[in-house]
Amino acid sequence: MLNIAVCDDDIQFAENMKIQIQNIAKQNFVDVEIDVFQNGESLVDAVIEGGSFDMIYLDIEMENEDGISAAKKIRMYDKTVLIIYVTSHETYMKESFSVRPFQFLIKPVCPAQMEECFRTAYEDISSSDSYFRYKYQRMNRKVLIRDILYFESNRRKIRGITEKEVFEFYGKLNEIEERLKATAAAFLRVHQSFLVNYKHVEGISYDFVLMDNGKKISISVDRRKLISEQYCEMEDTVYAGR
Amino acid sequence: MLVDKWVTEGINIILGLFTIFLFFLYFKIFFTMKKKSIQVFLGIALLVVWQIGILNIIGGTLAPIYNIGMTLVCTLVVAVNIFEGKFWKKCLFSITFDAIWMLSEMLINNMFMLYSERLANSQLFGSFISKLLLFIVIVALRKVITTTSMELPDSHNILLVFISAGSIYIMGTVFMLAYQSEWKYAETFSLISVAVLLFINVLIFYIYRKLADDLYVRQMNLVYEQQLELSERHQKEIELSMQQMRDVRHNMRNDFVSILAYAEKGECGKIIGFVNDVMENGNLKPSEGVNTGNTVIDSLVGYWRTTAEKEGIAFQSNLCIPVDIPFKSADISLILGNLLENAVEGARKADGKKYIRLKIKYDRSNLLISVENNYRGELVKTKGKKLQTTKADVLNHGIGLPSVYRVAEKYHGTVSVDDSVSNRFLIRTTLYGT
Repeated sequence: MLNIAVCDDDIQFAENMKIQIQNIAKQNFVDVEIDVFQNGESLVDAVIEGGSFDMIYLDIEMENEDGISAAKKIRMYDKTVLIIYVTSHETYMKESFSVRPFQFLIKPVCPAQMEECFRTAYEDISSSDSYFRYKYQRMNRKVLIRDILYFESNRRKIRGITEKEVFEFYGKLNEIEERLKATAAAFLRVHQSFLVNYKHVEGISYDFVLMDNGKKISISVDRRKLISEQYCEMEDTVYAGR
Repeated sequence: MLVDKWVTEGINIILGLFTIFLFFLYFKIFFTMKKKSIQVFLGIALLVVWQIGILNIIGGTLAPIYNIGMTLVCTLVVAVNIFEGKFWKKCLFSITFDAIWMLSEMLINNMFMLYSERLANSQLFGSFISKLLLFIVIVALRKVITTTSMELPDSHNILLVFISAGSIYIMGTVFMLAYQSEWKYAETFSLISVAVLLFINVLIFYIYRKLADDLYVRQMNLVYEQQLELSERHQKEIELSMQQMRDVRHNMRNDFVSILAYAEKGECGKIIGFVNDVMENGNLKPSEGVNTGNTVIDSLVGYWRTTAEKEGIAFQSNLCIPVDIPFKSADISLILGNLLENAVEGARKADGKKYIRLKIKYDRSNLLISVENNYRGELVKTKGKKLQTTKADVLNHGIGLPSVYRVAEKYHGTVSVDDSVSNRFLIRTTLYGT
């Protein structure tokens, strides 16, 4: 089940988008619930009140609050939601990239593009939509993969850091890395004792990653080349745009 | 007598240490030390043992020819262990070092022979003065040679080795002949030939530097040539887009005429259909949708799109970049131009449906470029896993990818080739903006 928001001040266009998305979802056997917002403020309010969306189709050119500033506010509360800008401009401002948009769609949106974008977005979301299971003090526990920021190992003990809490258990980082690989979730082994969730990486350079809770983790020298290659590969999702 | 012996020993050790100092002084002009501590330690240990130990234990008893051989081997082994760089370069510089060293010893020895027999017999004093001469030569070299990043191909190094190795041989012969000759002026002539040989050996450094400079200039020329070609291409693309604009304007006129005709008849449905047709055909978009506002990228992608489509190659692109990316346009055009040129070259020869897929994404102030195309045949790789050109004219081609690697390195980035799927070539470049 995907929660999708469509935000556009042109109500007709927004309704049209909603119908298009519903059709695409039906063809791909995906259950969706779509909310339509007519301005940035109401969308931001909905996010603040705890409405958790998986995807947001956001118009950039809106009166009062434009899409970019709305997106920035949303990012403060939700680090992982996929933001898809819908714009009638063919050139993008650098500012719009600061919220890590998933894709840009240009109005009028052609159906093929729309479907391709939806499919890659769906794959992206479902890859981190499963649980990470572990055992601690003889109890089986689980945590949603997309909530995990990173794992940190200290000898036999592993600490998992999420946005809200820290959990601990015994294990090996190598094994966890292998397990997560099987679920297709995007994790990067930037360091012998750090395994980070790519979804929560706010900044990345050749020698460090900055997590969205402000933690800076350096990439060890012998892993830099590999991480750089993996980084490019992850962003290279096949999508036929313009 | 015992005290005397101790003093001699002490002076010997000090001279040995001085030689080690000279050794480092000389090699540090041309090489950098290795980081691996074990090898460096081994090298230095060997150097110390050789300089302090051997002189005392067997130095005196060895025949001159073995002594020379020993010196050559020891210097080379030590240099290979301690310093970074190509083997033949080390070979050249260690043999030249030995040649200069021996020649200066010979020169001093000859001079003493000429002026005073007594001094010539004092080994210690001669050794000291000759090392002082060596020291002066090295210091002079340090002053003259400043560039450290000189690399020559092995063939040049091997050829230069002949000069220094040859002069060691000639020097030996001259020394032997002069020693055995009864002729009055033998020593004077021997002195002159040794001085000439010393000068020739010092000249090697000059030649080496000139050759390295020449090589560098040639490499830079290739890069400039390439950039010139790119800007020429850029020019062509601009002309092409002007042409297209003219076409569009022309078409627009025709379209308006049609719309006007429908409007006059009041046929609303037909107008809608017509406008939809025009929009779908893309007549309204002059550059086929390549429009990011970034002139360099737009024109390059536009150029290669038209080139590819002319050859019947499907060109898919997805450009997710802002108008003002914080990367130098010269670098971007170098990377993009090379990658797209290679892609078109590759796809041209492919079987079946030819295609190129380009993706450029600006993400977290980094730039990610992926180019994928199909091809036919085999990729050729060199030892360092870098790809080798498959074109016949190796000298002029194959400059493309190395320069992509070079630019990527400038941004701490990487270039990776994914050839896991047969007949699909996928190259990805990451450039870091921070």
